[in-house]
Amino acid sequence: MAAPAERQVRISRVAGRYLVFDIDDVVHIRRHYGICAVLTGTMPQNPTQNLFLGLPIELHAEEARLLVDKGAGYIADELTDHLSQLSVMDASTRKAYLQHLKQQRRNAQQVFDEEKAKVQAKHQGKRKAKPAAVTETTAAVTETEEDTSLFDTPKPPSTTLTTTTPKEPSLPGVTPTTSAPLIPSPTPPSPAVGIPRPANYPLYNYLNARGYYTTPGLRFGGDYSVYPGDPFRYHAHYLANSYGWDVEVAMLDLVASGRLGTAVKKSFLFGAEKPVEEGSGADGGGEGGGGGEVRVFCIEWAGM
Amino acid sequence: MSLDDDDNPSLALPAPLLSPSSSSSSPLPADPATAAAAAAATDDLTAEDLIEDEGAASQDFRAFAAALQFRKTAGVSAQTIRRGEKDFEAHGTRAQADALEQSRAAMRDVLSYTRVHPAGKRGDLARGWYFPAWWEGYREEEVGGEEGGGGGGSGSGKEGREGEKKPFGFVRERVVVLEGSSVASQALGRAVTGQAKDRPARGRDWLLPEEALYLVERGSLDLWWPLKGLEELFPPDGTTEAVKEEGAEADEVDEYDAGFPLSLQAAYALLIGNDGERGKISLQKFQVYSNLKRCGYNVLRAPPTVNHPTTKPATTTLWQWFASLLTRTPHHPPYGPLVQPGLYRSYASIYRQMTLLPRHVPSATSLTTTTQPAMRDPFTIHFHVWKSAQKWSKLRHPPPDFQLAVVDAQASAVPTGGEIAALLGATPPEPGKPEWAGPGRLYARLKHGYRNVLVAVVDHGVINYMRFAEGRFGAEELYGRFDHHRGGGGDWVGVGLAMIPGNVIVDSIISYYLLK
Amino acid sequence: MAETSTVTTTPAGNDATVIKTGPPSGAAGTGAPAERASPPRPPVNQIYALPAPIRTFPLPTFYPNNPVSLLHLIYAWLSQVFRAPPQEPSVVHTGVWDPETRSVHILDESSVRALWEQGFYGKGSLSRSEPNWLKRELARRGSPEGKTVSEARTELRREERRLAKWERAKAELEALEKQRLAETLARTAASETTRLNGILSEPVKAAEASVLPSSVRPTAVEPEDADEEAAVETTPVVEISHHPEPAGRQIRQEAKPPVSPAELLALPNSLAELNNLLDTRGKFHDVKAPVGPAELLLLPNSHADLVLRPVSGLAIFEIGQTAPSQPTAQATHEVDGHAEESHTRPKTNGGINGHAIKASASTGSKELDGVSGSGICPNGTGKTPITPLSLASDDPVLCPSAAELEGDLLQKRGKSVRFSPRVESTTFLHSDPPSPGLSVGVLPKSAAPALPNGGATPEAASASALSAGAPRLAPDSATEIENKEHFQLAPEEAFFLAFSLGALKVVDPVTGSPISTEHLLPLFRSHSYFTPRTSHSGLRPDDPFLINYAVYHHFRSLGWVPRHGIKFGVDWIIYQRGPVFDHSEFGIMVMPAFSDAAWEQHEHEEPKRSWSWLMGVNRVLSHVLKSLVLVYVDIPPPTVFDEEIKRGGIAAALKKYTIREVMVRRFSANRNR
Repeated sequence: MAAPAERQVRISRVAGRYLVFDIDDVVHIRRHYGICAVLTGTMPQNPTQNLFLGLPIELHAEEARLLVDKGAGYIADELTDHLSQLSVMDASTRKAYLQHLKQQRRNAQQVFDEEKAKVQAKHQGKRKAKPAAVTETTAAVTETEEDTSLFDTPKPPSTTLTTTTPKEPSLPGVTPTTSAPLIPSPTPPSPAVGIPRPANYPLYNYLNARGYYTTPGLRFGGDYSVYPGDPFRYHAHYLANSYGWDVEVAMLDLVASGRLGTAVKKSFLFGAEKPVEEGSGADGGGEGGGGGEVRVFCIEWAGM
Repeated sequence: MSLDDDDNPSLALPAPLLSPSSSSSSPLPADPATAAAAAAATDDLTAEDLIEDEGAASQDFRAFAAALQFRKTAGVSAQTIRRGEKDFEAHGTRAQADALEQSRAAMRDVLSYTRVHPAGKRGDLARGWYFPAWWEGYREEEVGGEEGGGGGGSGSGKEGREGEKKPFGFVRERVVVLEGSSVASQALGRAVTGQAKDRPARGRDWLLPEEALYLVERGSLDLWWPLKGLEELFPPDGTTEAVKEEGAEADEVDEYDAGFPLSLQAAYALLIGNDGERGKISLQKFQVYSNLKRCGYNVLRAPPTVNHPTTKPATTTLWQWFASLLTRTPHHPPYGPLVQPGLYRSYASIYRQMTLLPRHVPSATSLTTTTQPAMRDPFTIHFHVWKSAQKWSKLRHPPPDFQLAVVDAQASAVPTGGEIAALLGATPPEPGKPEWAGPGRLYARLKHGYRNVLVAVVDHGVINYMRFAEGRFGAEELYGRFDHHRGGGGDWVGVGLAMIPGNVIVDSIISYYLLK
Repeated sequence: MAETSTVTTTPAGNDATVIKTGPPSGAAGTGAPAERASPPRPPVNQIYALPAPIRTFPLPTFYPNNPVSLLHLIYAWLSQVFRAPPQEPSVVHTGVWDPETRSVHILDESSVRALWEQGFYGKGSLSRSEPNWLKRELARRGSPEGKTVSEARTELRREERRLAKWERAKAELEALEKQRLAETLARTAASETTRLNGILSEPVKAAEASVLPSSVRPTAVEPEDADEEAAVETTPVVEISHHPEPAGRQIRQEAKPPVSPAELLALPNSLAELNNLLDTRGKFHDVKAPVGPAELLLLPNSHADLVLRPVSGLAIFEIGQTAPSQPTAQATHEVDGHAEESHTRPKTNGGINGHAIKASASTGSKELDGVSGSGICPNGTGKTPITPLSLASDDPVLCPSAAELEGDLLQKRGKSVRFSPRVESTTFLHSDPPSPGLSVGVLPKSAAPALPNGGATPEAASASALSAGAPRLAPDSATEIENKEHFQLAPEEAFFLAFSLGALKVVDPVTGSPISTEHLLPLFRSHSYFTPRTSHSGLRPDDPFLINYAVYHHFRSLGWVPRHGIKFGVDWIIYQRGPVFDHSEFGIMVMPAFSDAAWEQHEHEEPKRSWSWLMGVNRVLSHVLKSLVLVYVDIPPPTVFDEEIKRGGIAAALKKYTIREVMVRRFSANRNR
């Protein structure tokens, strides 16, 4: 499929939900598989707002299934993996993990020191230029990060490091985002852990295959908000709802959907998968659009 | 002439983008009260809500990065994020492609952040140790029962009366012990009191899974996996000194001797579980919890509901009897007409003849009848929520501002009649402001309802709060105004009931004079 | 107004008596003629004075300190005693049950007015609510008697909105073109250095990004190809300096996937457009082939799609090439040539979803489109592809062949926004003919005998068939226009009028004999299922009719005015006074509930409503400033219901339905913190 197919995205299954913790995985699937999913975590940089959220991202079961189907990711049962690793940890793993942590802490320290030096330099420079300098205390940490990361495109899979706050001589503590060094990714990824095919999968797959991005559409009154490209750039065009093939759609719902589309400035899209004729492989095989064909319809309020 | 629904001026602009001139063509609803109520009806959404609607996945992190550069504490407000900068579709310009790349890079940078805890004085390092089984066998005192007995409604009543009593502790659920309690003392955690002196970790704050995970996620807590037992880490009183010593020298000895820090991913793995799993919280509930915390609310788990002592039936039947007296209606012919042909002096008398279906008139007791069903998952009150306030503390607080249930958008559906009745029945009456009495504020009263409950609907990380309120149309006999205002202006004074006796009196006066 | 006067303004004739008992005015007789004499209509409060089709006779207020008031009172009382008014309801209206539309038709004009004015029952078959087709028709024909009704105002406002949107879209488009032009210039003018800079500033990523969309799709090119494309992209800039080739390329690669959805949105805006499409359908069959089967399935849309999609690609080329403000014939030729050239290339890079093929087909279809567009246009301008282009830059509103123009603009923008410049054809009167070419506006007066609206709507058709023999001479005279509208009562309304008020008599459409309320009930119940259940056994306590009626009755008996809410996707909307007076504040969704344990023995379907449904309905309602109310109707189990209905009829059975309203709204965590 896409070029960097080697990358295996670890999809953490926690209590039946699907999460992704690694920022590189997040960027990867957003770029190459049209999956942006939902950022759900609190941002440590600014934990008192809800507009911007951080890792992990939560995937729909459809999205997780799609990644697995395309061979781009694998499902990891996080609780089992962690417990088995944590409770009976062999010395070498532990040592490696701790080493990794220490390195991170040293990095943090280093970044911080650099920052401090930079700030001081800046501060002094400012002193000379403008005596009353503004905002000197906090460093432009992100700025520097940005500068570097724009260039080295695919970072090593380990967690990247930034730091913020000043500290004392001893190394700062670090909470890594992922357990990557602790829990080695299985090689080969165990396909044993599968995902039952979600009911909405055919429609989702249909949209994804056509280059659309989706986000949960609950707030607008549908299953998905459908974007013509990366939602960073575009507004959603459709509000999509998946139906069963033989489900009767109440007339009232049709009217409401049409009006709803007008209200949220999207077109309302119905989609359903035609069941496969008897004889051919049933649902289970479901590779990609494994079932029947998917048909979609749009409705709009005529406003007459 | 006729004011059709589509003529509503605000409807005329589907988006704020439109020129305001388009609304000028149609008249506003004449009644100012109506207009005011209409304005209030627009879901009360803030700019933040509208942006949130778009979803976090589509926010432009460039704005966030820019905001961060200025001041770390600067809140990202809706003002800093302008909407409508997106394109409708790809138009193949370089500028567009560049903008997309920049957004992606910004996201990557912002999210690459690693949580760092300053290695300062010992007390500053907020470290939590994961001891999932420590309180497993603990049996909490029957606080719940006493609570239930104290108050009428499960939640609010108890607080006033038993303000001194500590809220239910959920001790069995607490799995993370705090070393140093500076982070959490006000709002989070709970020290388990009444422990013997020789118990380890006495007086330490223990965190619920959602509290621990929330703190880890916001970068305020380092969660550690212990390699030693709790007894060794926090020996009973008297030996604490030793630990402190050891801790201070941690760097020189093996600082990872007692345990090691866990990643965010590990914290999720250990603390998120299915509903009902001890020491865990479901992902949806955690997401709601942290969403509210980020907003500045105080959130506590709602104490377990206890069966209401059924002392109510007497009053209920009394009330019903009284109600039946009031609404005693003439015999209804099986197939109508309900309104007997005849001469009528008032519309109230006509409308009373039409009263057929039992009306629900909310009252403090009306819900707790014997038929009141028990709450069923997921429609149970799971969190109590307070607006941020100065004098709130985890142990002493007023009755909650909101009662909240958490449901999954896919796994559940809009509540059935029984479910919503049970849920509302578990909340205290909250009839709204007293100044809403009178005909002018009819809509405000109706919309507010008598009791209310919030339901957080979670769709894969996207949270949507819905407010359900007990309707009270039955308490508003709108027909009373028909007799008052006959082609008059816009104000309807009084309620119909007052008028009917008036007519009766007039009638009797007439007959009196005639007889004379 | 005097609070004691009761005026029935129904022109129903004999019972249009005016009872004035209040002190301010004189004898009863004088009031009525005065009213009739004055052409301006009385204030709405007077017209809609009665909340129900029942009059009341309240006695004047007695003020103990004013003996005169006592005299008034006695006088009024005595006059009522000796000259007793008829028993109320004094008028029993007659309606005809119409099983096809599942409604009760009211044909008598005075009944129509009475039912509408006294409690806002029913709706006009050709109107949104109040039956005012006749007025609209008169207004349309310029008669002074015609009135600007709300529908017309709404149309006007929508038109304004459309124009505003159109302007906005135009501005956007211009900005976009400017951007493109600038980029083209930058690229062509810039020498090596700029390229170097570009590489420096956004090196691999940008290139990668541009390939991205194609790599997303399953039918995508091989990665190598994609890379090649990306690589090529930067180089040819210089060599083809006079053609905006790279921009075009990028469109092929990037814009393609999104463009198609966008155009899907550009559905036919009006009936006229649809017709246009249908007219030209045949010609487009060849174009159809390359389109993916999926799109074909989008039935009516696909035609629109077909017409619009191919050209839009072209439009972009045109824009990129010529100065946006002055397209010339020459430009068009260039475009053609260029389009030819450009679409051959994309073939190599894509085959992406067959878009390239479509693009090539588009060249062929472009003329077709132009021709077909102009074909509809009666003025016959723009036979050549040049015309639409040049027109596009003109003031759109003045342009005669607006259909074309609209199409053209739509193609360029591909936005779902309706910005039809052709004002007169996007506003619909129910009497409008399907073809705009015959629009009455063109032939205002002489068209009358032909009556262009003949076949417009089924109702109108049947109506005109009935009245075919009637001669029509002066169309602007009110008397000559036959009112083609009848009045419809929903079953719930009809049942309420009959069962609760006794103010309606429903007759059988065939025999003409009245249907008793006892028989009306099973009739309405059975017809509340889609295929009416005929057998008596098929009727249950949770019949849609019964549930809906329970809610209707509940609100009516409290004094609200419920009306059907299908316009807003809800079961009912309720007004405090009525649509003339106020805006309805609440939208009602009926939610059947089966809480009784006995229901477990009976098959029933507890509705499972999804949360997204609730959010959607709530959004729709809050968009029109209404609050959502879920009305739970607890339904008695069949045993109880049957027993009650045996004992005390429907009156007793309805008492077993309990109603709980639950107010729903979104809660803003941001606002309430």
